[in-house]
Amino acid sequence: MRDDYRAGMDAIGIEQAFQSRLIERLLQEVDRQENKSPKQAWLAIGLGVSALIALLVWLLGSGED
Amino acid sequence: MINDYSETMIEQLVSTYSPIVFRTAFTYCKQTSDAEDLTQEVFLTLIQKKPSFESQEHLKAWLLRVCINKAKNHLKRDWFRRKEVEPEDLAYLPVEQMEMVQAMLKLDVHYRVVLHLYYYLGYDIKEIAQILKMRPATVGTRLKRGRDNLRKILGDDRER
Repeated sequence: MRDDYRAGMDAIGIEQAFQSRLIERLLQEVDRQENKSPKQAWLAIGLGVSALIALLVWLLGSGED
Repeated sequence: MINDYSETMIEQLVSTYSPIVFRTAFTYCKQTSDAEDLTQEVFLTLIQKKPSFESQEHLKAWLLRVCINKAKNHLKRDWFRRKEVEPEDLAYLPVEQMEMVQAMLKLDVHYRVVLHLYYYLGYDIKEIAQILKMRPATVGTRLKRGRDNLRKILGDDRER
């Protein structure tokens, strides 16, 4: 039972072409992540600076009162 | 410790583990095309999360667990589309192997996955329980019932 099942499953082959496509897709994903990271960092910095400016404006505004 | 996801490592991971993940996915969805999609999803999750692993066994168990979770979701997602998928035509296999694999694919999915992990991947009951996050006693029961059902489906006494 075990041997027939093992041999049968082993014979259900995963295609070489599929493995190559998979590697390509994974490498694309790695590239995408590497390119995305600096963008996210700049976005975070931009949001932080905006929040800081808003806080300063609010503080200056409330100081004048 | 495994935490390197360089190009060489990705190639090695795919070549070593994609057949195991693919065949485990196949035991769920019974179709090569769906099994390929699930395999891709599993490896994409690995690349996106980049977890660290203590050993190759740890990595293998993680891949199997993710594969099983995704396969379960796949079955839930698709239940309305096709209630029971006909197993793919495996006529190219030798008769005994084809009968065995087809019989396995006819089992209820709860028994099928336990038998697959036990027979094909050689895990013991405790390890299967860890992968499937269930009690060892439940795994033991499913293993026994799965074997009984398999014998019924095969219609002969091929248990050795």
